[in-house]
Amino acid sequence: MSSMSSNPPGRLRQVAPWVSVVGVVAYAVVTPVLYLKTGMGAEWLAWLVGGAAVLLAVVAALVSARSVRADEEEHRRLLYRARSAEANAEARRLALDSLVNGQLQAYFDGAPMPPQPPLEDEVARGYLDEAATAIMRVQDSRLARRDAVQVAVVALGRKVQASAHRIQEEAARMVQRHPTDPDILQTSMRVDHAAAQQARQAQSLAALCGEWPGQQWNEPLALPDVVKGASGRITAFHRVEVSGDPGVAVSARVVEPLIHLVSELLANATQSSPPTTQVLVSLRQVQRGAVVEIDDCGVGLDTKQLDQAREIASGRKAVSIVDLGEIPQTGLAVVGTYARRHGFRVDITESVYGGLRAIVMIPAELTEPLVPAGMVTSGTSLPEPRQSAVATVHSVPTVPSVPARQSPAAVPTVPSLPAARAVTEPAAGPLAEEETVRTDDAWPAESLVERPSGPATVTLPAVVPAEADGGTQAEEETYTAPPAPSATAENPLLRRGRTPEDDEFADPATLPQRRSRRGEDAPGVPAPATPSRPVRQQSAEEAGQWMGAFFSTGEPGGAPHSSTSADADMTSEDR
Amino acid sequence: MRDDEEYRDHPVRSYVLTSGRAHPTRNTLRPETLLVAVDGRPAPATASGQQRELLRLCRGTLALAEVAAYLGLPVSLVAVLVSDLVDTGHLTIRSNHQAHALPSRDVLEKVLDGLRNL
Repeated sequence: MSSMSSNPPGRLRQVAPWVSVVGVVAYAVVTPVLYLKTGMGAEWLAWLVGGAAVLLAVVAALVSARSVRADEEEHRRLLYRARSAEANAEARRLALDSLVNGQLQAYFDGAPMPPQPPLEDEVARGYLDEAATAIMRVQDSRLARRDAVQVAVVALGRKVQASAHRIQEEAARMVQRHPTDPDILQTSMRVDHAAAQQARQAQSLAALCGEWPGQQWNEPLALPDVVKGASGRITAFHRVEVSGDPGVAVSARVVEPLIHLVSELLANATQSSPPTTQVLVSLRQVQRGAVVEIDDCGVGLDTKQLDQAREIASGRKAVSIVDLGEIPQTGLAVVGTYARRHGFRVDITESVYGGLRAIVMIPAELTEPLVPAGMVTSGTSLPEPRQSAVATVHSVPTVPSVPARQSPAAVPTVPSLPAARAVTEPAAGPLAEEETVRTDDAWPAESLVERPSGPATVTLPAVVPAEADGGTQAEEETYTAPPAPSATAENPLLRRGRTPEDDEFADPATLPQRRSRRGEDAPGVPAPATPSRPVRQQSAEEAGQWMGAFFSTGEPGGAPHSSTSADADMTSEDR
Repeated sequence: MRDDEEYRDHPVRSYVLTSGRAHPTRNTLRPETLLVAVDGRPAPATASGQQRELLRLCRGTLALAEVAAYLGLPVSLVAVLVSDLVDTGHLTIRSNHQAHALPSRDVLEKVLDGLRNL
């Protein structure tokens, strides 16, 4: 448009000088000719020619002036176009920059795509949009593939973990089959230990893929036992020294995450310190929860590394399995994952011993007051909190000791463990109720009862039918009370998984059954076992008394040893 | 099957309980060995939960196998724990009960006579 309109002035401008030159030349040529030919006679012709020349010059000047104006306009127009072209180019450059540096980068990082900057140029925007769409498509497919890989990694990890647990189970059975052979126990321990480490590594994979750990415990666990459980999963478990017992337990649902977290910290601590040194773990209770401090005697880290480690361990910097690199350092990443997910606060500082100190703060809402004694027992720690819960819930209006007795009986038949757990958590809160249970000194002993299955029945001398009946009745009472429906979510699955006995382990999906297997001592126990339970539950004390009574009464009839009276005294005192 | 029912898992592994030791410090412990806690002696401050539990169980007189059953731990493992507690003087082993349990000579002779009369 503008270029077309600019043409006539341009041509005029070119023509104008020639017009004036032609006028002047014509004047110069014509004037002498006229003078020569006509003399003074043709003066009008000279005027005519002179006037024409002047006219031509004036016209030329006018045309030139107009052409200059047109030039200026043209210049301005060109300037404007240049500027707009520049702006356009800049916008495209920005768009391209955002495409390459923003969106492509986001693609490589797997991050969400930043939006395109606004661009007025339709054509360019079309191209850029196309490019952006292509990148997004590729990114989507890449994310999908990464998800698939993660799922596969998790599945494989679960399989490895399940097989490790299977190995542990087999080792435990081996010991059960040879109950008195220390050599077999030794072998079993080594196998168990190796498998536990394997399970931890496999579990780390799942954790880094954002999955839940493959196993879950049904009962709260005392803090020292959490650390012991964690130390059992590292190579140098004997170097871990635990001190302090704040008397709190960790809520069941975070037991496994916390064990895994602490075991990774312990693994780091033992690996980064000389093998002859201890790794000191101190436990304490603070206003806002409980604290685990892990000190190693290594050389520590420089400031930059320490900062990085803190960022990762505290969960502020997320590290997923794809960020690990060629030499995967999973430990702190796992710690950070759990810290983020469960609200543990983790920090790493320099230790007063020269190495590092890892501090884990477990928020108060994830802890529970510890039930005294027995709680920490390997065998009994599982049933006990559950009993306490049942006892607390159902027994509060009545005499503490009675419900405490019935509770173990009730537990085996409680339909679902999570139900029991569901009861546990609200029940454990009120301290007063907890106290009523604590004051009942009968129940800790009884709590042991739930655990033993075969051997206990064999060795138990006395069966008191009346007690058994009482127990069963009580059991039925308590049985109705637990909010069973609330538990259905997880439990039916778990219980169902139990039925196929061994092959379940091959399937990664069945891994959570570990939880059921353990917890299942309750529902899994066949019905005939139930009547014997109340018997067993008293027998811890009763059996001891019975045995003592047997000797004290039976011995006089037999050979009166000198030691006999002493023994009898002892038993009577015990009673 | 039976094994399945008996197997239970616990976060604290057995080797952690004994610091990896599988052999008891005493070789006199048998599954039927009777154990009694020494009266009035509190558990050592360093005792693990299992050891405290064990001591409480043994306030009466219990056989090693029974204690193991109550604790839900293998007998051989409990033997290690028990022998540690015996070493520290918190637990005593009752003298051989079979000596006491033997019937008197009169009874045995009567039984013998009865058998012969059959």
